[in-house]
Amino acid sequence: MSDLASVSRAVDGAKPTRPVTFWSLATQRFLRHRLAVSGLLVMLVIAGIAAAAIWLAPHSPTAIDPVAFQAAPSATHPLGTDSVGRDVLSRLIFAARVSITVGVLAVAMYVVIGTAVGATAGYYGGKMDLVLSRIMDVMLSFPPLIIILFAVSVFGRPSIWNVILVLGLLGWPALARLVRGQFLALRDLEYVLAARANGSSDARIVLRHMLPNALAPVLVAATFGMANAILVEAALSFLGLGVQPPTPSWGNMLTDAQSLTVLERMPWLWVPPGFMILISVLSINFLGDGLRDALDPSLRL
Amino acid sequence: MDCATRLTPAFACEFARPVKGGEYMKGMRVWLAAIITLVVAALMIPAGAVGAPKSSLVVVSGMWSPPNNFSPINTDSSYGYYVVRFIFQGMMEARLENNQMRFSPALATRWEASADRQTFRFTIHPRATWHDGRPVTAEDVEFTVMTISDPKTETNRGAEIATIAGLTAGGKRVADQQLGFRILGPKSFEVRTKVPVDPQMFFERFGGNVYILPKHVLGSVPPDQLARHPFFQNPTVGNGPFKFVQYKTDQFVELVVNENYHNGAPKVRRVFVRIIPPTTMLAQLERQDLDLSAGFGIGEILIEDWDRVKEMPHVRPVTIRAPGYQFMVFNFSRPYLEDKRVRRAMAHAINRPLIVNQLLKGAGEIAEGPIPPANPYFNAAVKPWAYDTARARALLQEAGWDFNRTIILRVPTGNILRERTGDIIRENLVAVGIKVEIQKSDFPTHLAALTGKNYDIGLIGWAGPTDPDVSSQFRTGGQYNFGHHSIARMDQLLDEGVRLSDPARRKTIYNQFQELFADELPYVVLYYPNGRTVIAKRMSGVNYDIFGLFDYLTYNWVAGPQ
Repeated sequence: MSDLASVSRAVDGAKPTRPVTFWSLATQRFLRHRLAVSGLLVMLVIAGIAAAAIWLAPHSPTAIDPVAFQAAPSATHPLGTDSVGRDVLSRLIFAARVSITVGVLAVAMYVVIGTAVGATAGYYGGKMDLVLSRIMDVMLSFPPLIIILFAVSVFGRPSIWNVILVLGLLGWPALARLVRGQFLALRDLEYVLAARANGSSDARIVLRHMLPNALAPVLVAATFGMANAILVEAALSFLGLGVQPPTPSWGNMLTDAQSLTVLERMPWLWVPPGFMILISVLSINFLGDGLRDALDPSLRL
Repeated sequence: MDCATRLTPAFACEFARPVKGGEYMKGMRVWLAAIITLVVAALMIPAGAVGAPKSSLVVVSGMWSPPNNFSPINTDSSYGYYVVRFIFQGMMEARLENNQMRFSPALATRWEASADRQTFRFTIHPRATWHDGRPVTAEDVEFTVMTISDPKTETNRGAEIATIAGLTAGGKRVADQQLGFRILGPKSFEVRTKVPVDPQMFFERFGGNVYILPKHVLGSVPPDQLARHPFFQNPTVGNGPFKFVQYKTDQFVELVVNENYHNGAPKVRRVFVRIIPPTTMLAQLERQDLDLSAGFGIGEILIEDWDRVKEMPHVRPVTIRAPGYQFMVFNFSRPYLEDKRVRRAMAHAINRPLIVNQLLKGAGEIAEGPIPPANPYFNAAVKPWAYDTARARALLQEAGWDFNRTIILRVPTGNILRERTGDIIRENLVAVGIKVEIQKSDFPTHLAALTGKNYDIGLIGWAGPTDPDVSSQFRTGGQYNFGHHSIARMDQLLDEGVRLSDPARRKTIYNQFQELFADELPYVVLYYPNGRTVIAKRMSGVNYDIFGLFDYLTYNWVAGPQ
């Protein structure tokens, strides 16, 4: 951070008592982005709901109501019941856990891998870069969903952890490319040359001087990646390869809605999970847009 | 016409001009539009090619999945045999009417059993011919029996001929044993069984389920290469009321009338068997692109859609009474499932009345055994174990069940109702203290897990039986013994049931078998679902056969105008 603080200058008219850093500027700019802020709030609410699912859900997500199969919304079941008599609202609430977990963990995993690979390739360049870049190219040329389908079935028993693992292990090349580009640009900047002239070790230069300056685009990419991870999890669970029943997930809740009759006459079976997928992905994307604008160095000042 | 004024199709104009430089992006978009248009057009072709059955001469049937071949002795499933029976016939066609088997002539005009119930004579219709004009003869039948019974032939018809003298229980020839088959004349032959058998059973199996192969086409093919012979992808020489035209993979099978069919030329000129996923059946019916669903287990209406089908003015919903069942099988190679008290505890724990009343909306029956309630051999005295969680818990404790053990419930995907049953069963078992984890997989993987003993409990379904002999499922080492169980008394009863020829004495044996079954519970039979099928009102003469499939006496089908 010290580098950033030293290059950024105080802005006239801003409160002179507080030092203006890159991050405080970014925060200001982010807060001005209304859609992004509302996206963040929605995500915080969903995360809160997921965390407090046990207290919020009116019923157990797996309990079967023997007298209400595919029942319309009522006082006992505010969003109705599904095809085996389980409360849709409770399942919706518990399913938020799955989506948040998959989104956060899968992305965290590939951010770590992608950053490490990208930084190595960008910093060392030469043959190392050549080899790592070609690996990325190869991985990027596979159709992702097909590979994921294949990997999930090869890993044996489908489960939420498998989905996370597969997404984490396959998602990194795009991010690694981004980091590599950043590092290539940063590598020859004066402060890096100065650090090198000081005799700093490679590890110190990369971790202390370069990485903080390459983080902004990573953050943005990670945000968009989270939205994508939620979508892929929903798709896999819809196909029966993701989260296994009876654990609810927005994707496997949608499997109920495959018949015309359900689509036309029982909207409570598919509108709630569909809406949740839509709203969570949309708000994460808004959040990502806001972050991108806020962190864009060309917009500084 | 000038490109600027021509609005549709825009991309056709763009092709005429070279795309370069600054126009690159625009060119890309145009290409994209062109590709999308082509894809959409390609998607519409199959629908257009089959089209709405506007004519009284064309009938469209819908089934859920594609067949993998059209071999009359080795197609993979009911999907395949549904199509096969339009093209290839056996001696007779069979149907259950008021609990009585009724046979109609197919290739044979006469069939009779000797007084000792061991010799059976058949006479083939004098005008029965192959689609290429050659006569169907007793030699073709002999060739078919020889082919099925050849140890090198891949076939699933072995059980249908296994009672014939000189064959093993799997229907294969034994060296130096005389095959019980004798040609009496060009159009007549005689079959001899090992021991006297119930003629009803013999006629159903040999007469109804063995479809005759053309010797003049396949006679020179080595038996071990038969399964991969191209003829079974393109069976142009059949003997049935319809001729094979083409199979568009995963889309439809086209059949055309056989004008020379010996029982009278069909009134319907062309039949399309379309592959339609269960979820789109309703839409196809609404568009009047479908005249009938193929039948029990292979082409039905989803339970959610059933009420809407009943509201449609142009179709007739047809309920088929429970010809098959869904069950939960126990893996007997797991020591902790060997105790029958554990299995009975699970039967008590599973809320079967709830499954039938709520999930099936009452359209099904519960019976504790593999003989359908609609079968003359059904033992009504055997009552299903009641839903009783207290009893279930007591039995588990008595048997010393380890309540910390987690067992795997394997559920195949595809049959949506069965998948939902899996969720209910897990909930029910958890309620009595059994920890259960569901593992879903596609059907082939599931089947491999069952046959490879790689499961604890698993769900699967079974069609039939009509004859009460269920040795292939419940005898030690049977081909479909998914639980890998071996119960000596059960083997004894099953063997005796096949050996006896007197129906009354067989009934006594199978009554005992059903009592034993309920006691031992190699399966928990979950429910006998009614088939929910549909026929367009313009159709008449359509009936289902013993399997609950609509390919019975297809030459009697009549289709009115739409």
